[in-house]
Amino acid sequence: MNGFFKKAFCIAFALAAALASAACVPSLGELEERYDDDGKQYELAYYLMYNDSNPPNDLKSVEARLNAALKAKLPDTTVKLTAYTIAEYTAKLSGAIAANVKFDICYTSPEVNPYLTNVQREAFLPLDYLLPTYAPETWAAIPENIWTQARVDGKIYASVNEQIFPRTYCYDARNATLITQFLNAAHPGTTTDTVNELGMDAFAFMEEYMAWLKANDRGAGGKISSIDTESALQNWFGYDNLGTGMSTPGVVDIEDGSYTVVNQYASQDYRNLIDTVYRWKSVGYIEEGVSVFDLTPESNWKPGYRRGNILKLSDPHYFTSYVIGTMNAISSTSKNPARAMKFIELLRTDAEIHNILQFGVEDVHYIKDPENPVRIAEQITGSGYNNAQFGWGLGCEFVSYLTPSQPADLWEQVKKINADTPVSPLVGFNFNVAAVKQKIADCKAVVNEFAPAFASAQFKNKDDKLAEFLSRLNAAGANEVVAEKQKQLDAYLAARGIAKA
Amino acid sequence: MSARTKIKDKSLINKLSPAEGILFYGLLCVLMIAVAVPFLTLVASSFSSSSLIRANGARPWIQAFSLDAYKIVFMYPGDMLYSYLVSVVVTAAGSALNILLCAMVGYSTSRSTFRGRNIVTFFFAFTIMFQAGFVPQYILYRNYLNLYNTWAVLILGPVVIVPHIIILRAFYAGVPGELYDAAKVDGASQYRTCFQIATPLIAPGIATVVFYSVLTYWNDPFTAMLYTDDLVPVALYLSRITQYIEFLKYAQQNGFAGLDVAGSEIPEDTLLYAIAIATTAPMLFIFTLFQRFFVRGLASGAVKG
Amino acid sequence: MTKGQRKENIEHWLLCLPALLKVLIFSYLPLIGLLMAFQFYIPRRGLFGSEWVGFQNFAYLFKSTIASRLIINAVVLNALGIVAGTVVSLIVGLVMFEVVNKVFVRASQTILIFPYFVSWPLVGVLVGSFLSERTGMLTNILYSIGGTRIDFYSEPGYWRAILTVTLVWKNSGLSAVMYYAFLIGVDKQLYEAAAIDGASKFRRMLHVSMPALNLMVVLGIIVSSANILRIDFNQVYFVTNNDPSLYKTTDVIETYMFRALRTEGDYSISTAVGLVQAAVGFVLTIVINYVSKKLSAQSLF
Repeated sequence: MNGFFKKAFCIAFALAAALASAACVPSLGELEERYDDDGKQYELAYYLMYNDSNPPNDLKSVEARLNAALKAKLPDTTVKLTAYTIAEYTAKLSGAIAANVKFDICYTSPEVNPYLTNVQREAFLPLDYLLPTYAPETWAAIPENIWTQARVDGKIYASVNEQIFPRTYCYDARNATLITQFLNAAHPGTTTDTVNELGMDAFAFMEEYMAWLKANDRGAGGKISSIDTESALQNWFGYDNLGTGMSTPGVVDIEDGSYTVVNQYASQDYRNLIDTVYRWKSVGYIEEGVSVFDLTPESNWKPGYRRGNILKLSDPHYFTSYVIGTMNAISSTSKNPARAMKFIELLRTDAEIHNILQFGVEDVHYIKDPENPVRIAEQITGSGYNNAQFGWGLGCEFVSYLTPSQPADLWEQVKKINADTPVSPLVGFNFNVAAVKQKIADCKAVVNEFAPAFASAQFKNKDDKLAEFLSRLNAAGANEVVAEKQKQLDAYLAARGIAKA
Repeated sequence: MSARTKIKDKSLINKLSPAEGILFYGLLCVLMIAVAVPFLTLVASSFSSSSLIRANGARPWIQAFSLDAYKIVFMYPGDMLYSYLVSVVVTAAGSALNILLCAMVGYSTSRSTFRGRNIVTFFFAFTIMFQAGFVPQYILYRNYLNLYNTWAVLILGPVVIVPHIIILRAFYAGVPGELYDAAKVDGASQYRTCFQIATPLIAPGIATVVFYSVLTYWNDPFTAMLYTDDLVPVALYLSRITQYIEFLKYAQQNGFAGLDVAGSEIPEDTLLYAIAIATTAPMLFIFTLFQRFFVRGLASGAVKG
Repeated sequence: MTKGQRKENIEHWLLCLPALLKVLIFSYLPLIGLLMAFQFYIPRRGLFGSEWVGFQNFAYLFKSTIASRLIINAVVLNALGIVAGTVVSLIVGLVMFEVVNKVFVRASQTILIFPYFVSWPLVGVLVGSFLSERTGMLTNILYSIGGTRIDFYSEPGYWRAILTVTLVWKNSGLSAVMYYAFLIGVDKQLYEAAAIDGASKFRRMLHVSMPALNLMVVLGIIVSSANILRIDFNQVYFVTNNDPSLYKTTDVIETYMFRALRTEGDYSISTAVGLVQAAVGFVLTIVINYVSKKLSAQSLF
């Protein structure tokens, strides 16, 4: 059986070698980038992402309200809204883009409606001319290195949304009452938002808490289903994956200054992390019988959102992928890209437009706080529109109305975190996957095979499996991917004049 | 006709020896239990408390009666009802059309007098192997046939399910040749022979294919997910409910306004069971109604065959 | 051809016409899109403007270090499914036909058809309720007999069987009823003759019922082998709980592509993989059809 397959593969390889052209991914075509607004009546088709499980029932009144508001703010423009849920957004857009359907604006990110893939598909227009010309405030508000991060082959293909940029490692304690009791007992003076100031190892702290729960017979609140190893590697150990996602090998420690690319899964940190997971499982801190489908614990701390159950465990750090975590792109099928750019600018500069798309129509979908013009008092359940959790996808989160549980200075806090966190010199480095595209896909398949199982201690024979994992990763080309990343990173550092430690 | 003459002593044909009886009835009983236990587990668990299911595992009996999962499934009764309506219309129209077209092809390709029968069969069988994949199909439906977001895409998309043709062809092939000869003598056209003579004889075949067809339409969330924005059949509506659990958990942890999170327990371990019941209950109901016809279909075959 | 034969032939063609047209438009027309497998498809340049890349897109499957595992698993699982599915539903159909008590037959049909309604994600959950190491019903029973808790979810050895059993459980009841329905249409005289000869029920099954079902079974096998490399993603993914410890026997092309290209959703690569699956199925179908024509005079075309 095996011999037959080998023979078949050899034939297939020979054919492939004979017929394949040299380049792995063709270079990007020359997409026009200078567009100007002809000033005529235009209907913008906007594929809005709707952050809920079901699409909104009452999109019509939101659209009507939006178009009424636009009359004065962006003359001769109407917007046709189509809302797709987060779960279906990628599939819906993939179809529309494949069929070259005419639309103007869509959401994109490294994962959802994937940015790089769509740039390769020539689905998005380059915005290097449009951004400074038609969206000057957006252009000015986003720091230069973040724009650089969004570049592919030197051009920007999407407008970055302003929100919280750094990532902070956290732990979801699930039960606010219990964690507060624990902190009062064990670390008086510390709150969930200041655990990082204790200077403790994150896992040691979590373990202390879970041991306390166990000792006090309060197991209910403390168990977790797994450790989100991807998030831990990045946000706790400070490994930047250089934009390929944590499921591809090759990371740089953002703090040691040596800018050496290593395979994170072969690191001692990863080994320790797995040991922690297995120890927790054996002591009973990790729930048994949970599958990899279970929601991983919350992986990023943000100010003000929480009910006091999310522990801030690390200082915030900038990572390359996450500064371009949410963006809006203009379709290459757009008939008036300049107008689309103007509308994207309005999402930031005009709180009314922004909040119509986020919360809907006042008194229909939500009720405003009579005391505070930028806070809503209540969202009307079953009213047919509630995109409250999508503020970060609408140009700039800082113009969003506050929900009842959020502090008044929320956006000031976020801005402060953005400004005060030292920006990693890596931000702005774009890894070009072309040379190792196939190897990355192979490595991803291997990582996605092993990593989730290690994260919830599912393998019985941990050490054998880890050895198998690493040898399979090497066979899939992990070392080549790491070397390619190092090569490109060295060139980037040299061009920027950044010295290695 | 000789086929209709009946043997007087029916018991001679049908009597089972004791050993045979034990074996046959025993086998069916074992299989029925093998099917019934998981099925009972499913029904019972949908009415159970989620935390007990998580702690003890699902069992074929109810553990602490609870309707939490159903409360989430029927959260928006209006939307749910509309989804049922979409599903009913699409399933009825689609299945009817599918069976009509498949029966016509099945009949013709079963007749040795049809010279194109092999090529026609090959034409259809080829599409089981070679499917164009999502993208070309999407482009065709959306750009060339203008079927995007229409009832027609839900109904026409799956029509002519090739395995159904093949099943029906085998049934038609079992129709006695003398009947066709007689029809020919009467000067009946092929249309009449197909619909008035052959088809009534293969009622069991039609019944079986109706069954497959109805379930194919009813359980298909993908056509709607890909090709419509506003028409949401039950299968899609309920698959979205599973997403809803994630939102509930998120909202509960983070205290978002606007999402109604009642109580502390989210029925995540029982929701899937309740969804399964909500999807299949109408089908099971129709099936029990339809079973009478199903069985009558089978019986009619027995009389006429 | 006589005039009458010609007229009959035309009528047959007309009967087939609506379905032929539908399939021509909806299934054949988009086949042009298979060309995508040989290019880097860019929507705005269209099928004929995109860059041709030869067989490069096929590399994703064949260059994968586990290609042989993926292909062997798909073939084995499909073969087991076809054989077990056919055998079980055939036996059940035959037995159902022999059982005299009509109420019992009707009840067994109703119950055996039930699983066909159950979706794969749910079958996965149900399998868990039987096999979970801590709480599974079957694990508990085996524990009380043998004294050890079998951890099914970390033993790949069991899963070819488990996947086959779930497939049989879900689909075979309905197939059995289909066979039963078919037998009811069989000429009663054959059974009468067998009864007069004093043939036992088993001989009757073997010599009367089985030959009658021959065509149906052969057609079923030919059609199923067309998709020998294709597996219902939902079945494998949900029934195995996507547990990586089990990949040795359960990893198939669909699950691999899911892991490797989850976020990319590459148009051309998925088309290329589909084409490989189709080509293999095509060759196999032709071979089986030919062999069957020679051996049993039954064939699809």
